[in-house]
Amino acid sequence: MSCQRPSRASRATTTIALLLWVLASLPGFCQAASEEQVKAAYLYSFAKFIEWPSRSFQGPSSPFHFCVVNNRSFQAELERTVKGKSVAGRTIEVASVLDTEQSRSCHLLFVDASQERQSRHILQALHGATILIVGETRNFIEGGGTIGFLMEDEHVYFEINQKEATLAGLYVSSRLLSVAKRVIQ
Amino acid sequence: MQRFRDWSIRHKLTGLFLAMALCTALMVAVPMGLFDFFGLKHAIERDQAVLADALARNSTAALAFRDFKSAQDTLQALRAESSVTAACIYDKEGKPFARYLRDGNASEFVPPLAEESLTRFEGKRLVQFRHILLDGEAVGTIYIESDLKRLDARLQEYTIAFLATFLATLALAVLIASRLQRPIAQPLNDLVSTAIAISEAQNYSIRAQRQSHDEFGLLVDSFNGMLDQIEHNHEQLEEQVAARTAELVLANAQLRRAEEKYRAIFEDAVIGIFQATPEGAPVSINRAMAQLHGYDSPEQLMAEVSNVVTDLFVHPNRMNELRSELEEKGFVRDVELELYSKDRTTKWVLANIRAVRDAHGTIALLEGTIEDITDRKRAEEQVQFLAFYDALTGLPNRTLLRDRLANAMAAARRRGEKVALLFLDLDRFKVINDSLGHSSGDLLLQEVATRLKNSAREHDTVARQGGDEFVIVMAGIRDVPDAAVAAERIMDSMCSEFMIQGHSLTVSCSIGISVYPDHGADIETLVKHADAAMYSAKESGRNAFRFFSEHMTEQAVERLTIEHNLRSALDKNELFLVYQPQAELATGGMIGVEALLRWKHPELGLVPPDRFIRVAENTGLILPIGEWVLKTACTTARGWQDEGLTPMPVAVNVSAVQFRQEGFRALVRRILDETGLPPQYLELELTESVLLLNADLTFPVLQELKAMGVRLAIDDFGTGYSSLSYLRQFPVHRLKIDRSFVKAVAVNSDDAAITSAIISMGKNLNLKVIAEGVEDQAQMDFLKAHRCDEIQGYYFGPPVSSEEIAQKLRSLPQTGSSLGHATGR
Repeated sequence: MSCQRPSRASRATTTIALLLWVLASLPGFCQAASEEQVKAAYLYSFAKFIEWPSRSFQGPSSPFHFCVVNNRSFQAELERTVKGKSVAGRTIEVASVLDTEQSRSCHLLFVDASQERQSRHILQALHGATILIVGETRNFIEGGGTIGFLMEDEHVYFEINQKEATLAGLYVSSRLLSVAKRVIQ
Repeated sequence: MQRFRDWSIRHKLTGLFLAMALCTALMVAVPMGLFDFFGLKHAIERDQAVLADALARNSTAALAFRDFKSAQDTLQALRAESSVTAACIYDKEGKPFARYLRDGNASEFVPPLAEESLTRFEGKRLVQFRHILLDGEAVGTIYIESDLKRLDARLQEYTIAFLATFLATLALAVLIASRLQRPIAQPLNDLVSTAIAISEAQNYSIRAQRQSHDEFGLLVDSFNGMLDQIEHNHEQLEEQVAARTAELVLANAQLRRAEEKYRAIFEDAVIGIFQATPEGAPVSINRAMAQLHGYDSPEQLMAEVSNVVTDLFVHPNRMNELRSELEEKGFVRDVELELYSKDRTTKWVLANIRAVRDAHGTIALLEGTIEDITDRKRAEEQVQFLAFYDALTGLPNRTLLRDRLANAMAAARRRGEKVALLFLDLDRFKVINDSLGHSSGDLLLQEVATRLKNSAREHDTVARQGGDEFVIVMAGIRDVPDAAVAAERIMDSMCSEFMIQGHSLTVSCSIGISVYPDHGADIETLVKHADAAMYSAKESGRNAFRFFSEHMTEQAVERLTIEHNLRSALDKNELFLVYQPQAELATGGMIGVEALLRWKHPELGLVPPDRFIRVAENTGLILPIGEWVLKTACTTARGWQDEGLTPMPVAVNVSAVQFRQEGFRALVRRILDETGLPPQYLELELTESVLLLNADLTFPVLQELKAMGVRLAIDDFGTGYSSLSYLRQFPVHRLKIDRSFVKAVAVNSDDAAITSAIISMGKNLNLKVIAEGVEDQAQMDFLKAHRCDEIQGYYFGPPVSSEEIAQKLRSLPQTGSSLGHATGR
């Protein structure tokens, strides 16, 4: 017989595996994803809901640059998240930048909480540049940032400064706006 | 259901209109309905797809940022779409993220597992899955499920609309049909009504009304034209029918007369006429046939006889032959059939039968005639019987005997056995026959035949050869002595007396026997030898049987020689008479002569009378010879008288055959006249048996002869049956004692006693007594002592020629005493 009926033991194994899969899909398990992972995924999603003007790219096939200010571990996390993905048909390159000069070529620049001291400087320096700047410090968007993360009840939210985005020449999808915790017009 | 073909034209037309209208309506409505239905379905599908796309787009952000509330809000927008019953948003991993249920709590909704993008109808639901794409990347899946109430409602509306249209069409079609069929159906109906009216009233003068100039108009014209023709023909036909009816009435009357005539011929026919089935069941028969079978009427026969063949045929198998002949030829002619009558006696009929065949050629009936030929058939059977049987005794005749003998001989030859042939002849039958009459003789023969049959063995053949001769064929005997035993038995059977018409008769017989193959190998020889043996037995003294021997052949040859020569003896003058003188014992004087017949043949020499007289009697030659003797004796006696000699009476022996002959008296009278001999000189000698056996017949003859004056003597007296009463009545003149007694009177006391008794009896009756054969002195002395009247014999004188008698007479003294003696009587 070419077709072998599964044994009683292998069927039991399959059943247990299914149960584990169902448990894994429950919300408690979802929360097992780390904050960094969520933020990396969000960053990637932001790029989807926002349009960059074509002048911000050197050519039609120029890559999309994700930049992380001086945080190698997050850079690694972000690289894992976007690996093999694209934004508006462009390949993604993740880079860790140290200074504003380096940031000029970025399309999205994430400033983590450790760079709180530098963030004001970065925002000022890049004010008006066609760069989506995402931060996680309190009142980041009031300080000139485009999108700011905030944690509430262990849940990651974000707020958008549409004014700043418009100023930078970025178009923010209303759908993104609709899910933002707060939008500064 | 009545078939469309049989509907009226009006209904057919209406039906056609309706059918056409309905077909048209259906052909329009159904594709339209289908088009609309599928179009709507597609629209619903498309609408829902659009809705799904909108939801998908609106929920991308909520999904991307796991904003449950936003997703929920997006779904809640479905409230505006009443047909959507449920919806669900799944995340990238396929887990339900947000749910929507139109009727009830969303949390109660258990969405199906996420699937690839698809659209499908599940019963009364339309189900759609679509991927939620974000920048070409699937971030989740949306599921929408909606009911098809819209479609149902649309279908309902459409059906109502269709039905309304349909009914309207129907009504319109009926309206149009009723209007349109009228100009077609009406003229036809009118025509039909007219035709019905014509056929019901048989009135061909009615005409149809033309209403239009179309084909119906033409039809009406043609119809009327046909009616004209029919009316015309009808009138002609009626005339013809009237004429034919008159003819028929006449013909029927003639037919009835003919039928009555033929029926009368059938019923009153003298011969039987019948009709029967091929199996034989009678169909019809006439009275003659019924009566032929002993029934009172044809009805009675039909009632009692169910099958002529099985019930009436004596030999039902005969019908098989007749059937095959009928099958072959169609008729049988002059068939003789033996049939039973009602009383089971049989009848012979002559039948003519014809086979009547039906259309297929098989025999349906047999008919024919039968005629009663029983009488003819019986006569034929009688003839047939006579051809092989003797009518008197019922025994086989000579012809059948030869056949039986031939068979017996053939059988004996095969088995190595012998056959005995017994010839039996009754002794002195002729005498019995002549004296008692033929009827008595016949009865005697019948009785003899019966006794012979009884004494013979079953398989022996007893036949009548003719006259008083019988023949017995004994087949299958082993040895000659067997035949002797049989002969003894037969002779014994004859011993007891026969009672014939009140007469008690004793009959003896002589039997000759020849044996096959000892005495002959063929029938002729055996018969000849048995006959010779029989003669031999007879000559040996009667009442005996003899086996054939060669010696007998010689005797038979001799007998035949005598018979042969005797026939010409008269013509050749070979016969002559001698005369023996008779003397008165007392005086020794000659008182008369007895004429004795002699025959001298040139080769045979002198033939003794005992050798040829019997032959003469058997052959009938005795009559001419007897006449010649009588005439010659009378002539001679007259001659002596004419010579002037003493008249001498002459005694002449008369044979029984001669005496019985018709016209014997006339013969005697004629001879006496011719010769001129006075009657008293003629003495006729008759034997005792001739006189006694049939006294009634004999007596008148004797009386007449006596009246003539002729003298009568009884010859051989003592050998027959003495009856004194007869002797007294008979007009006899003389008794002649038989020589056998005379011969031994001197030595035998019995013979002496008889002789003396005869002499004394004669004296008592006043009769002369003469003893014949007296040859010596002793006899003379005895006769003289007992006073016998007269003697004749060698002692006195042998028989001599007439001339010698004449010389004797011349030597006598011429006295009238003798004459006077003679005439005195």
